[in-house]
Amino acid sequence: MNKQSIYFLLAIACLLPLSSCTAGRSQAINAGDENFRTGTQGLQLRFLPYSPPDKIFDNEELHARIEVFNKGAEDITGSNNRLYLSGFDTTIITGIPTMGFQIPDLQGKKFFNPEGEFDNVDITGFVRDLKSRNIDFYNTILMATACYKYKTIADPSACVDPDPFSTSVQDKVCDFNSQPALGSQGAPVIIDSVQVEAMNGKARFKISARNAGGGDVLKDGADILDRCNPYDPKGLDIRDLDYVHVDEVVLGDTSILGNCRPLENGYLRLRTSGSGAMICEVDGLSGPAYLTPLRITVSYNYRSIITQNLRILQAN
Amino acid sequence: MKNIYVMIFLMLILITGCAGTTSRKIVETNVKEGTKGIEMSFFDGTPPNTVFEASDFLISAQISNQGATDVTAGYLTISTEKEYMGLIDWKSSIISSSTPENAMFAIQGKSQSNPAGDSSVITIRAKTLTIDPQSETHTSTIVMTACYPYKTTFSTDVCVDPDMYTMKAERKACVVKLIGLSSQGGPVAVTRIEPQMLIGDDGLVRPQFTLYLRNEGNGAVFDINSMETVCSSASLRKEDVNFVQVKAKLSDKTLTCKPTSIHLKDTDNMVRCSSENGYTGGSNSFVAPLVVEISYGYSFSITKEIIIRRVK
Repeated sequence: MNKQSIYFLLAIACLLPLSSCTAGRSQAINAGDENFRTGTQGLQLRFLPYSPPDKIFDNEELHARIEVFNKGAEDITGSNNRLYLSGFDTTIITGIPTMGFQIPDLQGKKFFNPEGEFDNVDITGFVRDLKSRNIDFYNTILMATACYKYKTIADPSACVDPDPFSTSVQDKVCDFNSQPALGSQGAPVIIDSVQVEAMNGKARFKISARNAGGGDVLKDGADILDRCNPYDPKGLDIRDLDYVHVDEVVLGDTSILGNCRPLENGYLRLRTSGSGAMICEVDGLSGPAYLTPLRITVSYNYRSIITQNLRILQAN
Repeated sequence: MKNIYVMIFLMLILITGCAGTTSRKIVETNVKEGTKGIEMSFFDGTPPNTVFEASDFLISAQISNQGATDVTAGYLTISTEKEYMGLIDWKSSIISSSTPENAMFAIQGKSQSNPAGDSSVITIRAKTLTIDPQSETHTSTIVMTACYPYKTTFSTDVCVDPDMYTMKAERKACVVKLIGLSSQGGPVAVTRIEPQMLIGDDGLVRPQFTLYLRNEGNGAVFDINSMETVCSSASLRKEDVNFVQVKAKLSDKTLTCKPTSIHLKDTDNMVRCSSENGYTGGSNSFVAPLVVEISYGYSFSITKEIIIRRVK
């Protein structure tokens, strides 16, 4: 074998490990793309693979690692946002605090971080001996519950036409009948649609909101977040669910929140179907038709749950 | 030149050494299944089908413990027509003491390290006596009976829901539901468990489990406290037969079972086991182990007919 062949073989051998590397995530960041307020997720939870494995022995520790990923547009901050692990017999799996674990502060999607931020919560439990208690095996469910505060901000452009039935032949900038484009807003509760009804000098906006995140919408407030804890003796009442607080409804630079109905002490109720609607009016309008931003902000607490099966066997 | 070959070899090892790690696989053996306890069978030819009068012969049987409980003090008896047969002695590694008619034995059941359970050979030396001079042959039956204390002990997972009847808006980790079971490594089995969450006057929720029991084996059940009577030739009382004792625990807590001792009938043998400790109504549901122990005596027989032939 001559030197050329050897060098050729070496070159091939060097290329092999390089080509076996999986391609890194490629992120196509379009310059000027500021639309990070998309998607219907807030905090996404995931048990990391083999963490825990589906079977362990009773002489091992239980290690669970849960990835918490903020896939929405709102930041998650504060010590009231917590993650709990429940569903199992605490006399068999011990050492897991009933007060839960603080969810680390996680930034939401931003221009320079279009994926959002993630972190891991590590949980360690201790398994008691099964044989001495005549327990052959123990099949249980690990239920991870995340309770956190969130917000939805929608700012579509709405068409305001103070003179909708004008006989003038002048072209209008916009048509109030066409609904503003909304989509999703990077949060589990979305502003589904805004229907505009125009009258002389007046406009009425029917704003619909919907829980699209797959979890449970809870009323805002630290007390509600505390009672979201599955170990809390008081627990959540049915009246604590499916309410969002309407923080603002601003047309242009004018708040029209005071003219929104029906609200219960500032809360919009999402009914059993998970959706609700309110109607906001504005009057004293004049001039030709124009497009203006309609900013709607609602805040709430949210509960996301994931489960994993676990089987514990006797070591002896 | 040699160095280059060594380099190529090392690089190949590096490349192939990056194989993914295989995940650890835990292999389980479930010994708590089946409805058998002690099983016995005669070996072919021992006893032989035909034996001459006034001669010795061997009775051999295979005995095995195919349940999940060890037998530490069981009784084996051989019943014969005393006018025509006599027994001499017993031989087996599992026999601790014996008289010509019976022997005390111990044999281990199924376990993780011995999933089939232990088995052994029992050999009894016997002899035929002379038959009636008017008869050419006499047919006689040999009955071998195993009489032993046994337990069916098993655990199963149940859902405890202290909040079953309230309006709390909780997501449940589990649902309280009927549990159907097949076998637990013993002849007396629990066939189903009906859980209920009962609210006491103090507002606490107390789980209650109704257990349905049945004799699934091919032998007879008797009260474990009457072993001496049942396994001997003493006459049986009605209350000795078909009685089992039941105990249960939920997690670490002993349940109160009523009745503690139940007479097994053909159907609907029910025992209700309740928790004295209650759970506060707001607590979330969770999965807990329910451990049940049923204690009883069990009796199982095998028979063989032999023909005693007169010597001309």
